[in-house]
Amino acid sequence: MASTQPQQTTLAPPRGSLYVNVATLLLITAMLAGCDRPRTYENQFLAFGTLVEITIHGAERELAEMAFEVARRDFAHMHAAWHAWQPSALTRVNTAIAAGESIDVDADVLPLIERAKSLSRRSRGLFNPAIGRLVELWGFHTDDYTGRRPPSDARIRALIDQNPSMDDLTLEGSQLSSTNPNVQLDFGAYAKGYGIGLVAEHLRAMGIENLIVNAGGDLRAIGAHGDRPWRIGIRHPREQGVFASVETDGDESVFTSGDYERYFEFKDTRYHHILDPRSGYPARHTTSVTVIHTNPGVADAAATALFVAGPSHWPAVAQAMGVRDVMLIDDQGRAHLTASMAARVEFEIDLPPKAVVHDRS
Amino acid sequence: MTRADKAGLTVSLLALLTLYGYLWTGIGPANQVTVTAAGETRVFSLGHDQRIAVSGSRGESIIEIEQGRARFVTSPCSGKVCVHTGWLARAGDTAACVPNGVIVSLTGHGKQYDSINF
Repeated sequence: MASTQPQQTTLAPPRGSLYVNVATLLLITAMLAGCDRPRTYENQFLAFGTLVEITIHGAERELAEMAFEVARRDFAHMHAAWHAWQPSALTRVNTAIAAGESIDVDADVLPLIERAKSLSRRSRGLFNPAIGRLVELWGFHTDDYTGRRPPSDARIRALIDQNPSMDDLTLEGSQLSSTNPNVQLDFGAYAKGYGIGLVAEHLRAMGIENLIVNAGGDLRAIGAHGDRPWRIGIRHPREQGVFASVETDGDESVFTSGDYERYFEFKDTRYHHILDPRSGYPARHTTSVTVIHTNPGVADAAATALFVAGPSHWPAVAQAMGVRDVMLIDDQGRAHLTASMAARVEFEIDLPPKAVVHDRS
Repeated sequence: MTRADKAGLTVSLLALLTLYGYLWTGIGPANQVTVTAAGETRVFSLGHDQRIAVSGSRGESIIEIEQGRARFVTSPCSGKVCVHTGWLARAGDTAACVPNGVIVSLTGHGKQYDSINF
């Protein structure tokens, strides 16, 4: 409005000068505030059985909108291919293994098996995607935990004695065979990491340089938010809200495995979904493990393996898996950190946890 | 410069500083609730206390807005993760009922973190 009367402004009588001044300054203010700075676009949707959130900074709106659609389709495709208990390319593999037959593995599933074999070995078997039958026995192949109780010791023991391992699988090209028909693949501790990685790559190939792909709380962050790094809040494992934060650098993935994600309670005991492949029971003494790594698949598998390893043994497993930045919260509420993680984590609560820093040197 | 001019100038500068802080530093309260269900997004003010019934794929989720906060009161799911998330109070806070396909998130200028890990 003010811009339509510039001539009158300069010729205005003194009595009008107050209004002129106010109008001019407000106009400048509005122009300043509305300056064209790079924008951040966010999109949330449900996919992969969880809440997915894509954050994009500094790209054109049209490109960001396209990226959201691409991410949505990618996650839907992967969810259908990798589902562990609804008919999928993965369940076809499991059916063949159980029947003692070899199978030509679908191209969507093959890289998961190849990478998971190597990671499982490096984790000393603590990340073991071959224990699908055990996961099913505990009832974690469904979202409905009402009235659930732990399975009997005998049934757990029977599955553990069969010793399903990724080493039982042999790949010749895409042809898979197993020496152990009790292997059932469940990539619950790896698929999200690998999938987040693929989606982020896809968006980057579209020309997006600054982005975060977050699926169910695990994320890969690339680039930065303008002239500052991406800021990631880490949710408190027992209370509402954030208790710590980190800033990412370049291309990093932040993954947390916690006993609060999927669990049921029976007779005042919490039975969560992170099973120790050695005992067949939910791993004890750990509440959560947060891992930062350049590879989201490694971060995902390591968060599970270190959770299972527990407060005493995690440093050796972290080293074997090539993971530097780790924070483990034990069942006493203490934080165990690598020196590199301690240097970058900021605790955001008034009473930060007692911290134990493990220095490898 | 008259006294009125000075007053006008002062008011303008204060407005400038306030807007600068609000728009450039990103510090400010959450002011809206975004509710997404069945591909449709609706936006509600956090300033108006109310209960909202949302139709999802399984049935009705009830969202409550009270004193500038929002939460799931009930939802037709077994895990009740959405209900246990509790009150959402800060911009960026989000709760979702995955089985019913309902997402509730707070928007505004006060987002402290770019993304939340859990």
